[in-house]
Amino acid sequence: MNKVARPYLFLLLGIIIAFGLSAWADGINPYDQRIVMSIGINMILAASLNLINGFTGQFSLGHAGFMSIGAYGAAIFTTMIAPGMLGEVAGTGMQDVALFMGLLFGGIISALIGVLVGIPSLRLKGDYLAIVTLGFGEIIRVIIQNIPSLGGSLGIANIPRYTTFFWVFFIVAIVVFFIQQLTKSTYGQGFLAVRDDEIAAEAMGVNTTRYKVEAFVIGAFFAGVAGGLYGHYNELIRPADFDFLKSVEIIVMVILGGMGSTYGVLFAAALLTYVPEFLRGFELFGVKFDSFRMSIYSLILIILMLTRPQGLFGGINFKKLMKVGRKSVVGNQ
Amino acid sequence: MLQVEHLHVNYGAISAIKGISFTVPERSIVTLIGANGAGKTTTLRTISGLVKAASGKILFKGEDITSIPPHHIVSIGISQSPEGRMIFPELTVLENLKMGAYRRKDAKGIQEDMEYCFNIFPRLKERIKQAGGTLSGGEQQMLAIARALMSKPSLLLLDEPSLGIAPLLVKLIFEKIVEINRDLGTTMLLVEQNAAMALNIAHHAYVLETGEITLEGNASDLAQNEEVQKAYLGM
Repeated sequence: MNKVARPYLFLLLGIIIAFGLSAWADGINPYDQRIVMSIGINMILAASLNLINGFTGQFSLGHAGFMSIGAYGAAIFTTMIAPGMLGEVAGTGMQDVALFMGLLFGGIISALIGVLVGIPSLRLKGDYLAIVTLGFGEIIRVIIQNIPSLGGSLGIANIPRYTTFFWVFFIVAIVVFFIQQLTKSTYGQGFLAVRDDEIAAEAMGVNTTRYKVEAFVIGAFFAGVAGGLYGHYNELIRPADFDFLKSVEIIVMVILGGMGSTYGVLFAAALLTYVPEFLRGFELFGVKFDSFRMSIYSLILIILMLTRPQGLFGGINFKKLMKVGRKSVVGNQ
Repeated sequence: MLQVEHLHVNYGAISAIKGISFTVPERSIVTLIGANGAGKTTTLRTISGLVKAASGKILFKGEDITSIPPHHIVSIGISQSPEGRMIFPELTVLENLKMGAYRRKDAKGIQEDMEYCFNIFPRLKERIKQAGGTLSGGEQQMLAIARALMSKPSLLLLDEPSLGIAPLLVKLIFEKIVEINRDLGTTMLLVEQNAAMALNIAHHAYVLETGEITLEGNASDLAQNEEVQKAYLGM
């Protein structure tokens, strides 16, 4: 396969999967639908945070904050701005246009706030940046909680349900494609250089602050888009949905999947979204796991981190793996 | 080519460099020798813009570069092989070298310079696909120097190339430094604790002690100087 064409083929494959999933959506019950939807949204969140934490090596703890900005931005757009622009759209083909514009609107606001937060705070390193971004996430939540026109702590209800399987997984494919292309490019090597050794990168002429801000802003944009998708699926958004725990949940996906491994992070997002739901109905020797499923979930996390501290897919070179596989096949012949 | 005038550098309240002045003529190898904490690395980092000067001037080709950010410093032709190598451990040798040419756009020139680096350090060519972090200390040092060369600098700043490397490799690396200077005419500012090696290859030398220059002169003369012999050459 041509090296240049491969990522485009993967993108095409992703879009086909998105179509396939949306065709399948009507046949399954709402509970399973919700799980699949959450998996997709978490994939977007984890893959975008992976650009900041995994590829660029900046520890951000405020991803849920950006998600909330996008969620509120998109909801405001579709409920207040879109009706004036597009008229009544629900149920028509125009609802996808409204959703798309809403997502873009939420994402852009989130990215703009990412610039504002990023420029001063990305001069900080390691733990300090983590604390600043943690503070940022909480500030956003408290601010939204105290704006009556945004519904305060009750949030915004009656958001139209425009999000479909197709949209969610289409955007997953786009995010993955975009991040892969970005980090594999000559320009994108700069992100990895900043992560590997910031001073050396600076000495090579890499404008490290610019890379860090860029990663942060791109991450914020996609987190905002994910927030928009969430709002338009859940029909209700509240500040409490985007608290510190949500940020931690996304970080755990990135770390468990393997920092800087896009496919690992996608897998971890799916796994960590599914496992708690799976345990809900799980029964062993007549013992129901429902009531202590979160303890088991935590236990699984601890075991995984003890056995694979580099993450599930961290440090695995897929190309090499495939080559070794091929060689052994050839060897057997 | 490089002129440093009355340079002062502070870390918080502590002054690390107390008004040093020195010059590096074109095509020469100049060395700054001195003990731990004398301010050698600080001086280099101030030149490359990683550390801000408190006062004083740094002139490069006659132009004041004292407050230029580091990514521009590379563009005007100064590059650094930093102390402790600081190669990118998870990037391959090839990717590390490409990062060195980060500011350049001429694909053909980059290719030629890469050939030159592989010529000088054939070991790097053997390890081209290997992650930088898996190289030995000496190989990493070769990579750091090669990476610094990839930006096609007119002034190369070498920070402790002998640090933590097997003596045989130290000798080899210093020979290569002389070779690069001769082949490409790259001006070099070498900072070293291994004064014997440094004085051996340099044209001119300065002795730095707790932020001040205490001695200077022709490298071969300084090697004969009694104080230098006692303090730095262990004679």
